[in-house]
Amino acid sequence: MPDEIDERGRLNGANYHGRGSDVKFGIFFELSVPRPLTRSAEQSVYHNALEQARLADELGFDTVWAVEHHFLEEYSHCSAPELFLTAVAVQTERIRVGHGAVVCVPQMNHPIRVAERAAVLDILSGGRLEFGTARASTWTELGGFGVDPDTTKISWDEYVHLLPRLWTEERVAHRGATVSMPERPVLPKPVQDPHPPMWVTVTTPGTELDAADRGIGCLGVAAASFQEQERRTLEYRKRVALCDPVSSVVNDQVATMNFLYCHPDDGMATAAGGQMFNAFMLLNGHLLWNREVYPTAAYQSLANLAPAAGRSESENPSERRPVPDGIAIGDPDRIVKAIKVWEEIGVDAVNFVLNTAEVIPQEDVLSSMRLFASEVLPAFNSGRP
Amino acid sequence: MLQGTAALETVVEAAPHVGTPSIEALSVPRAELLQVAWEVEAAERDSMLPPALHPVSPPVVTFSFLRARECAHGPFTLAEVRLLCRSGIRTRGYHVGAFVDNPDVAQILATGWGFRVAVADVTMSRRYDGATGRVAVDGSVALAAGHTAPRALSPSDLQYTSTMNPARLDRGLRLLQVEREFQFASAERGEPFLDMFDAAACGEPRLRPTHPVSASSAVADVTFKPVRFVCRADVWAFEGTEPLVIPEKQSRE
Repeated sequence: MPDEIDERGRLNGANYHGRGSDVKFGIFFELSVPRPLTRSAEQSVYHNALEQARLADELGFDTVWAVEHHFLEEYSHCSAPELFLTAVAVQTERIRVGHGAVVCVPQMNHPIRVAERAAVLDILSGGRLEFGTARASTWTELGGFGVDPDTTKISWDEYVHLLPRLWTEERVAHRGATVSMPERPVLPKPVQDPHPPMWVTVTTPGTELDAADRGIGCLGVAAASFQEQERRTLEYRKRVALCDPVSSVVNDQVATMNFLYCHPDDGMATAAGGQMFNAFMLLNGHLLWNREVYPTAAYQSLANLAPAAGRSESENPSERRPVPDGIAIGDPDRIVKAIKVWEEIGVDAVNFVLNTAEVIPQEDVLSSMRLFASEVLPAFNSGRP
Repeated sequence: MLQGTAALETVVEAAPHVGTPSIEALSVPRAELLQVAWEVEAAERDSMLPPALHPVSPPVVTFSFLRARECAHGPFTLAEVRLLCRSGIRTRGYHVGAFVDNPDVAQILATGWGFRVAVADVTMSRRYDGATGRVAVDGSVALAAGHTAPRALSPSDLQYTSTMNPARLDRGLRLLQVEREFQFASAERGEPFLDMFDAAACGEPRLRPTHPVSASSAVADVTFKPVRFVCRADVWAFEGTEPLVIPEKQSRE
């Protein structure tokens, strides 16, 4: 029999990295680099991102997320996010740092090293780490590390159960399907007790149920429509209330990904922000997804490239990916209205991509963030600076 | 963003003439299929694609076989070599070359769908221990690929992508989007092998296989659909796509 469920649909008696009354706002870095791919272009992207993170800290944003990707030219040069996030942590005071997310396959990250690095980052950030998990979905990455795509769901599941033990138990021995270790003390331990909030990235429909069943937060990393996000959120809420959590603490938050370009002139915002959105979708669409070249039940989706069922017109190569509803591109009024809908749907956090391949000049990105903070944040903020 | 850099004059040279892209479907019931995917050297990746298309990283070629035991035009076995790419943001394979063992089918595929196809000795066999495809031209093996150790997949796990075939139309050089509909009855994935690949004989001497990716085989009802879209080869698909009007009867098929 499950424990009693409270009025918010949460298990009584469980500990929570919980939901607050205010929607939270994060910024989300892929660290995409424009061609030509010069060393100076890469450095500029990193320095601009750090400047954006410092400003986000000052302005009252809640979290800085950074992805982990490998070999994805242009799209993401963020292959060592733990180092980037360490720099963010030491250059900021209050904003949380989000590992969004660590690829949980042994060929890329051994779970002991994952636990160690995360604990150190939690210490250096003063207990500000949010910890995301993922399994990679491109052949470029999986093939590059010699990963058998059939095994990534298995290793991810093993990691999310093992990591809380590595963070909380003095000594751990483990014999598993993808990793095993004799008894060892994994050091250091994180600041947050018992450990940082855990998330899983969600692109394929259904992964939100994996998150819910394990008591892990649902970190959306693909822009979803209101309707799709509402469906996912409802399903998630139902399931997480009856979860079998991977540790003594449940993270029952739902975060969605969005794009931000805020400008006083709605038309200018739409033009520049639309350019950013299209650039992101183009680069994303040119990735070599695992499913395209390696048929397996473990990767059921062609991600955003799959033609929608029954929509023969989607084979038309001139069609761009439609801009989903609720994108935070526009003047402040438009953005407030969009985020109000996300709030009503029950989303706990909205994470924004601020730029893609530097199509928006850095000064304009910073202005957009400032305008968002002065005109949009107050509509959702009961306690921020 | 990457774009192909192939000189259009070299693309034109190799492209068949298509008077009118096919407005009728070609149906192949219970076809046996084999597809082997292999990474190739990246150095000349961009120069093998026309500017309309976008390379993927790493570059991957597919060696595909289709054995038709029943067809209105007689039995045939078709072999194709494709270089994976994007048209707009759609997943596609750029048609490098093809072989078929039935001259009538060769004519239909070339004139209706723009296949750069040669008549050759093409065989394909599926067994309980694997599948093999083989092409011999004038007695020399140009392509031999397949898989061993098959493991059953759910048919829904397979998703073969459409192809962009360069062709000379009356309106000029165009890429014909060749769409095939697959109703899979069974599917397997196995350990890929590539015993022989004569890149020049297959249409692109610069293709140098480097690393195996996957191999799958299947049984499916396959329909080569009427051509709905052609694209200019010199500009990206967002600008250069030209939808074709298909008579209502065929468009419902």
